[in-house]
Amino acid sequence: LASEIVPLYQDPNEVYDEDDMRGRLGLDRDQPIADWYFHYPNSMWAVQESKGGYHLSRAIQQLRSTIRQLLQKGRRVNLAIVVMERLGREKQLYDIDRTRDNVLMLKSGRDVKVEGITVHLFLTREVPEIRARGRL
Amino acid sequence: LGLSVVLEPRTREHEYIGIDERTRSRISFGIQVSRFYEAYFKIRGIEIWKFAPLKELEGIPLKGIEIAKGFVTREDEERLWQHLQTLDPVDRFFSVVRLLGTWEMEDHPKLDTYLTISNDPNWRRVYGDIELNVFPEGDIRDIVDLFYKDRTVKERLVDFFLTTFAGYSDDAHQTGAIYFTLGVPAAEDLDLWRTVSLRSKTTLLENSLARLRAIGGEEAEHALSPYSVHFLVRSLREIPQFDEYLSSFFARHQILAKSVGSVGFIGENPESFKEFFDEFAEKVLKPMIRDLPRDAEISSKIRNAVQKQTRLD
Repeated sequence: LASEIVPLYQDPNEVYDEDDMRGRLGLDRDQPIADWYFHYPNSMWAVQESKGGYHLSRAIQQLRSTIRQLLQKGRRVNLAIVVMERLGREKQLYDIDRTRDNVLMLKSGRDVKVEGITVHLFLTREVPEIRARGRL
Repeated sequence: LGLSVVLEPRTREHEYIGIDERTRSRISFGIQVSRFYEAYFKIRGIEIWKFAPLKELEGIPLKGIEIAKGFVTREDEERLWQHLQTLDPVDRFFSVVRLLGTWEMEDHPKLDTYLTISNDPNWRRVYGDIELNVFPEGDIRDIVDLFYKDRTVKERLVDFFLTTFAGYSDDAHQTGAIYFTLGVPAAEDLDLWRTVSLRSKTTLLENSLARLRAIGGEEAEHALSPYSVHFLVRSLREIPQFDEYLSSFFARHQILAKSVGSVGFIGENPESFKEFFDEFAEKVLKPMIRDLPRDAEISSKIRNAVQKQTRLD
């Protein structure tokens, strides 16, 4: 794996980047798209956004657009993940529930879900520990 | 966040400025921003939402408007305002208007782009009144990455924007601040700033202290907690020739400070603000907080003074 690919909890056995998703999987070139679509050895499929991680609300829109298209194409998605450097000012809109694998929540207390899939938010500094653990 | 504009409400003597007037002013300002970039930002439609521009974030879609010519004409703007006026006042108050399209620049693939005009107070507090950005793709994480790829482009799309809009005002608002940043603008993320317009140099110093407090761990928190940021910055600026000394940091890190209605701080390269903060914190802020009397010392002086006077034990 190239060094810039940071799969969250173990090495995937299938990796699709933006170009692969558009080229090989046929996702729309005119829609925002997330960074990665991973398949893990434990049969989980994850959509992950890292590059847009400076802006959480925008990253959620990328996840939504990607997951919606993947599901329409009959692909599976089990996990929706955002990896961010820091949450910054968006703390005013969001919370992270660290008792439930970093589920992203709105201030109203509702979990953030995209196409019915719960979104998890991890800060970059948390990733090495999760990688070492090998699971969420 | 790319570009974020924070508007400040204006007041008129003996006259209340209503919510509708403020809403209309924000819409008008946002559309003027879109027109400034119309050579690159090709708009295909406008969406009106309530609370947030996304269902997943408890947003409620209210209306959609198609844009035929790639930019918002006077007629489109009037149509948008007519739509907003048909909404309940509460919906209008919490409305978020989104212009959607693509960013089209020579020698670069098209990028999905949005300009958000936020009336909803919660959304506005985080992202500003006006927000312009692209969806990341390839090596572009944010619209500022595009703006900073080329010096000429930066001068046209960043520097000229600042001089055009920093002193803007109408009857309801004036420009409070303009941020070109990677991510959402916040004092604690000053290292991600690229170019900003702020009320004064004092505001920049206050933001620098806020960043130090955010990243300085327990020591910074402990040292700064008894003091108001305003007091500390005022003390700094009372030092003779402090402003000249501050300017030397700008010069070293290629930040051009110029009067543009407010004070524009134009970063000449993407790392300008990060490098400025790193050196300024090392040479000024950290030595300053190291010698500040701590809260226990101040509390003890307060206790001693009161006990001496009242003879309380």
